[in-house]
Amino acid sequence: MELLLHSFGNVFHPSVMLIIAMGVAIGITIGALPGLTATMGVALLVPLTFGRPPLESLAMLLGLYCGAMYGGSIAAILVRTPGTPAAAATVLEGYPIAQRGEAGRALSMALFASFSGGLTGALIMTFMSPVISDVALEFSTVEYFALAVFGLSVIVSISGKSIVKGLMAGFFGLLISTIGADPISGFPRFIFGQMDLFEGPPFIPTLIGLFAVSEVLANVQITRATQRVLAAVDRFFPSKADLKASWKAICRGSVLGSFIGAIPGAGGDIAAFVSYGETKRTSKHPEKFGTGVIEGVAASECANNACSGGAMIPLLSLGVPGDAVTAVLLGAFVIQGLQPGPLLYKEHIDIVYNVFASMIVANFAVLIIGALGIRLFAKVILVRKAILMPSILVLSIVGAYAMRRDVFDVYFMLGFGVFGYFMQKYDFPLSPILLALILGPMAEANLRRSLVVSGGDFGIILTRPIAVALLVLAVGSLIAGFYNHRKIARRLAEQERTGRDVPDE
Amino acid sequence: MNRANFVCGAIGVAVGGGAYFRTSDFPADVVMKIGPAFFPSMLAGGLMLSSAALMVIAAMEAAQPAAPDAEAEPFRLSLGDGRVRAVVTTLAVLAFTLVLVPLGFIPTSVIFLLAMMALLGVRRPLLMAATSVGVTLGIWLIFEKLLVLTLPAGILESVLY
Repeated sequence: MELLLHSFGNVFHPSVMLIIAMGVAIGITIGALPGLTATMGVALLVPLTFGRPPLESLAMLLGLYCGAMYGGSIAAILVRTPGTPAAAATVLEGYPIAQRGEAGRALSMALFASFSGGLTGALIMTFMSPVISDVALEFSTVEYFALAVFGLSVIVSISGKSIVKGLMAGFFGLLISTIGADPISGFPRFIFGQMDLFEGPPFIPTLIGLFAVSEVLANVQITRATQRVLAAVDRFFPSKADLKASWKAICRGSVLGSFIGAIPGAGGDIAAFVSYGETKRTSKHPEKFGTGVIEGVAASECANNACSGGAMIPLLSLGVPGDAVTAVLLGAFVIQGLQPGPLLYKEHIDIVYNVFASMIVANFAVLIIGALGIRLFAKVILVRKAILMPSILVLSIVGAYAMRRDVFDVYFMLGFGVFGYFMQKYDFPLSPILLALILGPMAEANLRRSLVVSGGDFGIILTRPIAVALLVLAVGSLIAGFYNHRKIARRLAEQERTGRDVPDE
Repeated sequence: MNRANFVCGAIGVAVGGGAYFRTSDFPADVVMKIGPAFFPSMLAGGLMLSSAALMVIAAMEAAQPAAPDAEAEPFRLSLGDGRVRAVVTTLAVLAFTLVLVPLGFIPTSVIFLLAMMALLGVRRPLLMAATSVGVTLGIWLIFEKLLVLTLPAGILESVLY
């Protein structure tokens, strides 16, 4: 208890609160810019955490994560372009409200719902993840191998439109993860005489290349001017009438979002659509949805923000990232010398408490900074791509170079940037590569260590109940992933047939 | 046939095949049954299988109708074509990397930003100059002073240190 209070106290230190506020402000800005995602923002900011203490680094990244989840709603409401995929559902009601000249009403509801959802998600994370990690403390190398396999099974769920393409990306990522010294014998694999690759593919340059440079290469092809903002922003907090109409949607969406976020592979976009759908289903006037109903904005925004807390549950307690952002955050933990998972609770419980406190503080910061800077963030949408994209490139180059002061890493980043661009162009998902890069070495090293213990007998896996349970869960996750994929494909086909707008995923 | 997916699948098979072939040089581990080649060869096999599956699916698919976006437009070798801008951007990053150490971060970044803004259609010299110098100095200050991560000084070494 004393450690808990001490860790929370550390986060409430003015310098840490300032860092969280900075992260939130950057996150809202990035989230508000269509085309820039929370994943890209976290990837760009990771290099800025080199050499900083874990508390400051993680606090800033978590602040950015929370800020970006809210920021996506600004562009969704004002210019009908979701700033992040998670805000796609917000467009459905937010934009029609703004078209009526009530942009401030929609934005204020989005802000309040984001805060409520984010805070609920953070609290659920605080109470649930220690329970899960208690079980996970019994883990040996066999269980860690099974856990990595379970994490990798998520690839099917995050494959986007094509599972085959997701599997290709996953296998390719896993193959790349074997570059460098073999974890047991030290034999150099696939390095082609390039000693820079002996320690494995450089993680940060790969991350920046895949998620930032590839986006820039896509964005420089479209140089049209930014869109016109619909209406003036004249309100910072929702009215009593709007709160009365939306409180049920906020409560339901916050809980739904937290639990959907905790399911590996289900991100903020899914949570927002499920919450929106439920609110519409239970509404007394479902026929009005699509014309600018305030509950719709509340439902989708609280769910996608609650998702950020939920997604931290498997990351912290099992070391399994639930989506692309948490996969990048996992990388940030690793850079700090911390391996999320049950051992984190055993060896660095102070860091875990710091994460809990940072998420809670970040959500209050979203509310305050969001309210104070709502007009300014609305203007962010007007920044020209012609200025923004080159600046992101310079930051990417410096970020890739800075950690090892090696230009090889910049070439590596550029290579993965071009590769990521073509992957996106031909509808290949990027997240499986990242997941594979993180979990691949964990799977291989732990399986081989287990085999050292068993003298090469694979049967050791079946002697550990938790490992078997995790492998069964992995199979279940694969089946659920296939089933969900078919369901989503059917729904999209149906929407296409009926001629309704199909929001971007 | 979906030609793009078929080609992607073929590339996947080739990469997987190349990696699988490469693993034949890896030493075997007699103690633990699985040595350095086990995982990579298994993953290369997985990549080949999934890529072959994509090729089969692509071969069975109907031809994709031409998309009504830039891809459908005829290619023009001018900066007005988005694809040309993407290639020039890639080459500009390559040039940045090549001269980063000898020329130094500050001059390289300023020139790069000016060139990129011109490429993307900014035509206001004052805005271009202010942005390129401001962004460069901002990033330099963050990395050098706040994070204490040294960036190449290049020709400005005597001025900066």
